[in-house]
Amino acid sequence: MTETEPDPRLARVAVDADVLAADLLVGGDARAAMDIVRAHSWVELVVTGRVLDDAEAVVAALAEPGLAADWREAIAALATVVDAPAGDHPALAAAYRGDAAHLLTTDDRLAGAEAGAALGRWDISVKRPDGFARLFDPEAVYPAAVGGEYPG
Amino acid sequence: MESWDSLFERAARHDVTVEDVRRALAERRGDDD
Repeated sequence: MTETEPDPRLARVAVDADVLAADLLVGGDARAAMDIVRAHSWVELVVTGRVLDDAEAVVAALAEPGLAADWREAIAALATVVDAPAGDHPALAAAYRGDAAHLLTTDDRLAGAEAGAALGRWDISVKRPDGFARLFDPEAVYPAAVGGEYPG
Repeated sequence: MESWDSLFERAARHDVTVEDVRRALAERRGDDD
C-alpha cells in the first residue's frame, strides 16, 4: 500500500509587492487571495525583504507613511521572509528560495517565456490573485499539503 | 499590533486603484533597477 507523503510546498504562497499593496489599499481580488492566507494558519506567505520594502514604499507613496509602517508590522507577523540574491526579481526569488508552489502577481511578464522557463524548473505556478482565490480550495489542498483530514 | 480590519479601514480613506499600485511599483523598481 502506498500513501503519498504530504507536500508542504502546496501550502506555500509567494506574493509580490503589487498584490500585497493592493490587498491593503484596494481590496477586491488581492484581498480575496490574501484572506485565504490570513484565514488558514497552515497556508504560509513567503516573501523577500525587498518585496516588503517595495510594498511598504508603494503604500507610503499612495496613502501615508504611517499606514505603511503599521502595515509592515502586521505583514511581518504573517510572513516568512527568505533571502534573495541581489539582481533576482524579488518575487521570483521569494517563490524559489521559499520553495513555494504558487506565486501571486498582477505582472503578466512573470508568466512570460523567460520567467516561465525558470519557474517551470522549480514547478512554480504563477497566478493572478483572482485565479488563486478561485482555484485554491483549502479543503482539497490540506490533505495533500499537510496530511490528514481538513480541520475546517 | 494593529488589526487587519483597522488597517483596511484606514487604507479605505485613500482612493487607490490596482493601476495606481502597478504604476507606483513599476516606477520604484524601474528607479531601483
